Amino acid sequence: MEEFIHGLSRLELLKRGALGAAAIGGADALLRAGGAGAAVSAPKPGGKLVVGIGQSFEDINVLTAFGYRWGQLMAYAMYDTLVKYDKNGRAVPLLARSWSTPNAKTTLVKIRQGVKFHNGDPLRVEDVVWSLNRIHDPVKPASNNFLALPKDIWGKAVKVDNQTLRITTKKPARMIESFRFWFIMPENADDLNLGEQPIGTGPFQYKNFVKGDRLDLERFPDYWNGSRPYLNELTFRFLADEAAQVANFLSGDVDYLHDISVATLPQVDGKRNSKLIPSGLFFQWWQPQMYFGPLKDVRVRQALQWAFDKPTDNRVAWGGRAVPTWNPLERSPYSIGKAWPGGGPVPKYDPERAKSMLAAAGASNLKLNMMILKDPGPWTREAPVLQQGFKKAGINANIQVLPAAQWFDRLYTKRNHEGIAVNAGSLPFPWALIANYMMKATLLKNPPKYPKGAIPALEAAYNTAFSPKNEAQYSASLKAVQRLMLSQAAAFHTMIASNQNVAPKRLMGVDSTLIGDQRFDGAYLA
Amino acid sequence: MRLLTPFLSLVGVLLAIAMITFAIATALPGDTAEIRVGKRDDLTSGQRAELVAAERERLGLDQPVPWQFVIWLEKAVQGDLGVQEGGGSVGKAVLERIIPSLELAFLTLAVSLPLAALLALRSVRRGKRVFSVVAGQLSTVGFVVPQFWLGILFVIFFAVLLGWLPASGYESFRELPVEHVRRVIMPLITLVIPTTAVFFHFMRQSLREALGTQYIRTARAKGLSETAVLYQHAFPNALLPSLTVLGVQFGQLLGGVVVVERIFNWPGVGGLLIYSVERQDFSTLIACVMAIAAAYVLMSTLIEVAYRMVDPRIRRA
Repeated sequence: MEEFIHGLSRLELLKRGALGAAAIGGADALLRAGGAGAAVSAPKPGGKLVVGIGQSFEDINVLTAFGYRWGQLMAYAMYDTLVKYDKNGRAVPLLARSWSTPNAKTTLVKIRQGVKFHNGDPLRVEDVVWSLNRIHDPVKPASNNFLALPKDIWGKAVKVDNQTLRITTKKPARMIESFRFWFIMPENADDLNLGEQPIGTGPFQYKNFVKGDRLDLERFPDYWNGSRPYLNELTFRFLADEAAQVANFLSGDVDYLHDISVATLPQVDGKRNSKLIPSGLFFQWWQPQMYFGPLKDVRVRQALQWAFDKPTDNRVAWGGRAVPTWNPLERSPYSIGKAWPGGGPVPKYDPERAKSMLAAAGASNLKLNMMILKDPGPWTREAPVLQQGFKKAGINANIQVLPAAQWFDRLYTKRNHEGIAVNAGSLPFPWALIANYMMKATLLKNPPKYPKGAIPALEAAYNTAFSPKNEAQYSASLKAVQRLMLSQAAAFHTMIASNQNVAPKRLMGVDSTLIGDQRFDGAYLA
Repeated sequence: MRLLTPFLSLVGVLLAIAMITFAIATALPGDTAEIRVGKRDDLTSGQRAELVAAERERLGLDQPVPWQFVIWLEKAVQGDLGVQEGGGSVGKAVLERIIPSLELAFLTLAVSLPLAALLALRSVRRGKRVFSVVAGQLSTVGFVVPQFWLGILFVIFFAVLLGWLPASGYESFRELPVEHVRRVIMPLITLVIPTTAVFFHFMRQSLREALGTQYIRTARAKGLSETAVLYQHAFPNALLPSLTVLGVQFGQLLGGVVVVERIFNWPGVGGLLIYSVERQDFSTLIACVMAIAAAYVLMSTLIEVAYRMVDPRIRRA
C-alpha cells in the first residue's frame, strides 16, 4: 500500500502537523489534553453524561446543521467519519478500514465491514459513495461543517467493489485531512428527514430532541467498535447563556461544560470535584477593510499594528490565558519563524510610534470602525480594551455591534465592512485552512465590487496552498501567505487560547484532541 | 352578532399583520439565500453565485416581494407555512414552541391576576396604610428588577444552594408530569413577580379612583360593610382597566420573554423567533410572528367580549 503524498509520508505529514499545533498554544498545556482524556482504569459500562454546550440548536440535520459544536462534538456522537485524528494528530481508521493513494489524484478506500446504521441497515460502499458525492454536490447546499474540497479539486467518488470506493480529484489533494469532516449518511439521506430522525453509524443513537433545550442520545447496542460506547446515555444541553452554564453546572444539572469562556472558567474551575480537559485552540483576529477607506493604504495598516494593546487585552479580556501573536502559523511546520518579514522589529504596543506612523501616512486622527458580533465571545471584552489603547495613539475608534447575520452579510457577502472586523474560529486542519480562515473575508478570489485583489501576490499564494502540486509548493505557498499577511498587515492581532472543558474527575476516556474534536464513545464514569 | 364582530375582524387583523411582517422581513439586511448557502470555501465566487441564485429561485426569493407574499399566503391558507432550513415543517416547529409559551403565559396570568387583586384590595382597605406602603414599595422593586437577574437569583437559590429544583430544562407534561411541574416553577415565579407588580399598580390605582367616587360614598352612606363596598362595588369597576393591561401583558408574555426562556431553557416561541431572525429564516420568522399575533389578537378579542359582558355601558354602545 502506498502511503505517500507529495513525497512525504502521511504519518510524517500528520505528525508534523500535530507538533505544530502543540507548539502554538504552549506544548505543555496542550499535551495534557490527551492525558486528561486517557483512560486510567478498565472502562466501566453504564451511566449518563450531560454535556452543556454554549449554543442553542434548532436543527440537527447533519446535512444542514452547522457550528463547530455540532461538527466537532455532537455530530461525532451520532455519525462516524472515515477517519478520526488521535491525540497525537495521527489519522486513525474509523469507517475506512484502510486507504491508499495509487497516484496523487486517486485515493482508494476500503470500508469497514459489519457496520450498521441506527435503523439496522448495514453500511454499504454505496452509502459512503453517496455521502461523499452529496457533500460535494454543487447544486444542493450542504453544511459548511463538511469542509468539502474546492470544486476545482473534487472529482467524484465511485464504487469499485463491495468493500472499496475510489475517489478521484481534478488536482492533487491532501485527501486524508478532509476525511474527518465527512460524516457518512445512509444513501439518499435527503429523503430520510435526518432532522427529525438522525440515522448514522455512530456510537449513540437518537432518542429525543427538544429544540432549544437538549438532544438526548442513547447507547447504540450494535455499534461496530467492540464494547463501545460505555455510557448508556448522553445528553447535550443547550446553554447559550454563560450564567446559565455556571448555574446548571453548580446545581448538578450538567456534568460537563464544553468549551467555556475565560470569563466563566474561574466560577466553575475545581468546583463539584471537577477537572479541566483542554481541547483544541480558539483563535481570534481582526480583519482590515483593504479595498476602501483609510486602511486601503498599507502604511496606515502597518501603523495600526503598533496600536493594539495586546498585554492589557490578554489580561482583561482573556484572563491572561491567551497567547498573543501575529501569525497563527508561527510555530507550525511551515512557519517562517519569529523574525518579522522584511526585517525590522515585531510590532508591539507603542502608541507614540503608531501616532507618528499614522501622521507620516497622512492619517492623523484616524477614525476607525471596529465591527464585532453581538453573540457572546471574547470580542465583547476585547473591543473596549483595544478602543482605549487606540485612543492613546490618537485613533478615534467606535465599536459597532452587529447580529451574526448582519456581520456575515457585511464581511462575507457585501464585503462592505468598514475599518476592522473581528473574526474567530477553532484551529482546523489542514494548515491551509488557517490561512483561509484569516484571509477569506478580506482576501477575495473574486470580490463582487472589486475586480482586483487588494494584494494579488497574497491571493495567488493563498490559492496555491489549496492545491499544491507537491509538498514543497505547499510549504512555499504557506510561507508566502505568512510573509505577505504580516508585512502587508492583512490581518491584525491574533489571540490564541486553548479551549477548556470542565468535567467530573471520575469521567475518563474522553477523546479530546488538539484540533478540537471531542468524542464520547470511549468515555466512562470510573 | 355583536359578540361575533370582534372575531370576524380577527381575520383582517391577521392579514394586515402578515403583510407588515412580510414587508419587514424582506427589508431586513442580509440575504436568506446567501446565508443558507454559507461561506462555501469549496466553491469559486462564480460557482457560489450560481448556487445562491439556485437557492434564491428554490425559495422563491427571485420573485417580486408582493408576489412572494401572494404565494406565501396561498400556501399558508392551505396549512403549508414552509420548510425550515433543516427540512422540518415550519408549522410543526412553531406549534411545538407556541404551546410552552402559551402555557407559561396563561399560568403567569392565572397566578398574577388573583395575587395582584388580593394585594390591591388589601392595600386600599382602611387602616392598612403600612401594608399599602410596603406592598407599593415591593411591587416597584418587582417591576424594575431585571428578569434576567431575578431568574439567575432563583436558580442559584433553589437549584444550586437548596437543590430543590432543576436549574433549567423542559419535560413534556404528558410524559413526565412531575418533572414538568418542577421545571415550570422557577420561570413561572420569575414572570409572576413583575407581572403581579404591573397588575397591582393598575388595580390599586383603579380601586383608589373608584373608592373616591360618589356611588361608593352612597354605598357607605347606606351602611354597607367595608368588605361589601370593596368587593361588590369598587372591585368590579376597578377591574376594567386591568383587563386592558391583561391583553398587553399577554402579548409580552408570549413573545417577549426571550431572556427567561434562555435562562431556563424553556423552549418557547421567543427563542425560535430570535433564531429565525439570526438565520434569516423568513418562513419561520413570519410563522412565529403570526402565531404570537394570532394568540394576542384572540386574547384581545376575548377581553373585548369580556368587557361587553362585564360593562353594560359598552354592551349598549
